[in-house]
Amino acid sequence: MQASTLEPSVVADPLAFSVSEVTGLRTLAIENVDGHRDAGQVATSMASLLGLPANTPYALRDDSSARMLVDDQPLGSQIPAEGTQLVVIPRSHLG
Amino acid sequence: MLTQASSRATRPAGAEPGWAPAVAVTSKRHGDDQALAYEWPTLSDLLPVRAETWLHGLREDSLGPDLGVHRMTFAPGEPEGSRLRNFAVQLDDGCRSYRRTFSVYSLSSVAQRARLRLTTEKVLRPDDEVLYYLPASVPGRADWDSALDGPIGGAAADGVQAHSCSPPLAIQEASLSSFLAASEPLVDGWAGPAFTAEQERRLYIPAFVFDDVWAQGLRCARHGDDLESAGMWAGRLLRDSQSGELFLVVDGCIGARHEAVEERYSVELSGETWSAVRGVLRQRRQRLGRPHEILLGSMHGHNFLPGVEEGNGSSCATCPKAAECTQTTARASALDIDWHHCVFSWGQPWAILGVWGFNVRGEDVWQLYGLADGTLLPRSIRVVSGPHLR
Repeated sequence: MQASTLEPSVVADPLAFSVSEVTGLRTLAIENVDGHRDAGQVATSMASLLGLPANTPYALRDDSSARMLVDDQPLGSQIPAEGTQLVVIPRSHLG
Repeated sequence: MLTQASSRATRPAGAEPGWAPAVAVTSKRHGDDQALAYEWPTLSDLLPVRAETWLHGLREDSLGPDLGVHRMTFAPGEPEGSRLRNFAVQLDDGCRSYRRTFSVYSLSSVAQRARLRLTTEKVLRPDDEVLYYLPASVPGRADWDSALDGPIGGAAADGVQAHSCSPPLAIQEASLSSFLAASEPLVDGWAGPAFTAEQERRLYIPAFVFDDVWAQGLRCARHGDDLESAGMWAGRLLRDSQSGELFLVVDGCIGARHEAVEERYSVELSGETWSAVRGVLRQRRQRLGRPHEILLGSMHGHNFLPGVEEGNGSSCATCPKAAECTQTTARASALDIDWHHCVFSWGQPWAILGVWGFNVRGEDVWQLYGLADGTLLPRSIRVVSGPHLR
C-alpha cells in the first residue's frame, strides 16, 4: 500500500503589492502584509485603507494574472511576495 | 416606513472638535418626543458627506485636489427645540478649510440601522412608521469612533504600511461657455427634475454628454433585453478658464458586458467586467490622447414595466388611467445607491448614475442622479451636438 503525500503549501510572507479600487483612481502601495492571512480578510482591510464603505463585502482580483483570489485561502499562497497588482472588487449589485 | 423629521438649511455654529452628529429614532406609535434609541454614524455612513463637502470646496477653490489629506470635523446646526435643523461637515488641510451643511436625510442609513436593530429587539413593529431626527443633545457618547477625526485612507493597521501612489487628480481648463452654447437641456424621455435651476446650480456641477454617447448609454442599458444590463460613463472633469467653475463632460460609454451577472432585477459587475472596463479606459486614454479621462459614473436599465416588481404589472396594462399615468421604473433603488457609494464614494463625488426604465405605456424613460445631501438625488444634464468640443 502506497502512502499518499501532501505537497507542502508555500506561503509567501511578508507580502508587498499595489492595490486599487475598481475605478483605478486611487492606488496604494502596501508593504508588510502577513501572507498567512486569508485573502478575504485582506480584502476587507484593503477596502478600509482605500476608504471604501465597510457595509459591503469585497474580494481581491489579481490583475497581473487575471484571476479572482480565493477568500478562505492564505493570500501568500496565491500571489508572490511582491510585485502583484490587486484590485478590490465590491460584491454588490445594481438592482 | 422611515420618515425624516424637519430640516431647513441654516448656517451652523463653529466647528466643535469631538462633536459628531447622532440620529435619534422614534415612531409615531411611541410619540414624536420619545427617542427610542440614538445611533452614531460610522465612517462608511459619512463617506458621502465627506466627499460632497470636498467637491464643493474644490469647486470654490477652497480645498486642494487630494481628498486624502483633509481632516474632517463636525458642527451642530441651529437648534430648534430639542432638535437640530442640520449639521455641518468641515474639511481642512491644515491651511484652508471648507464647510457644508447637511440635513438629517444624509444620515438615513444610520436611522435605517437603528430601525433594524429596534425591530429585531421587538421595540418596533415591522409596520411602525419610524421617525428620525438630529437631537440637540445626546445622553452618553461612548460609541463615537475617534478614528474619524483624522485623515482617512492612509492609516496603517496590524503593522501594514500603506502609502498612496495615485497620480494627483488632473482637472484641465476648458471653456464652460463654449459647452453651454453648443448644448441644450436633455428633456426627451426625462422622468423629470427634482429641483429648480438655482437649486441645481448649488447642488451639482454642470454636466454635459455628447448626443451619440447618450444614445450609446441607452443601448448599453437595454442590451440585456428583459435582463438588467449596465455600462460606465467615461469622460473629463474640467474647470472653466473664466469663472473657475468645475464641470464634467461625458465623452464615452463603456459597456459592462464581460461576464457581468445579468438577472431580471439586478446586474453584478464581476472582476472580469471591471478589468475589461479599465482596459477600455486605458485604450481610450492612449488612442484619443486623453491621459486624464476617468470613469464618471454608470448607467443601467430597469428593463421591466412599472408594477412588475410588485407583481401587478398586468393590471397596469388594463388600467383606465394608463394613458396619463406617470409611474416609471426609471428610479434608483436602495441597492443602486449602495452600489454607487461603494464604487464612487472615494473621492468621486461628481459621479452620476443613470437609470433607463419604462413608463406604463412601454416608452423609454430615464433619470439621472448625482450626489446631494449625502445621497443620490435627481439631476439634469445637457446634451452636446457636434464633434468640435471633443
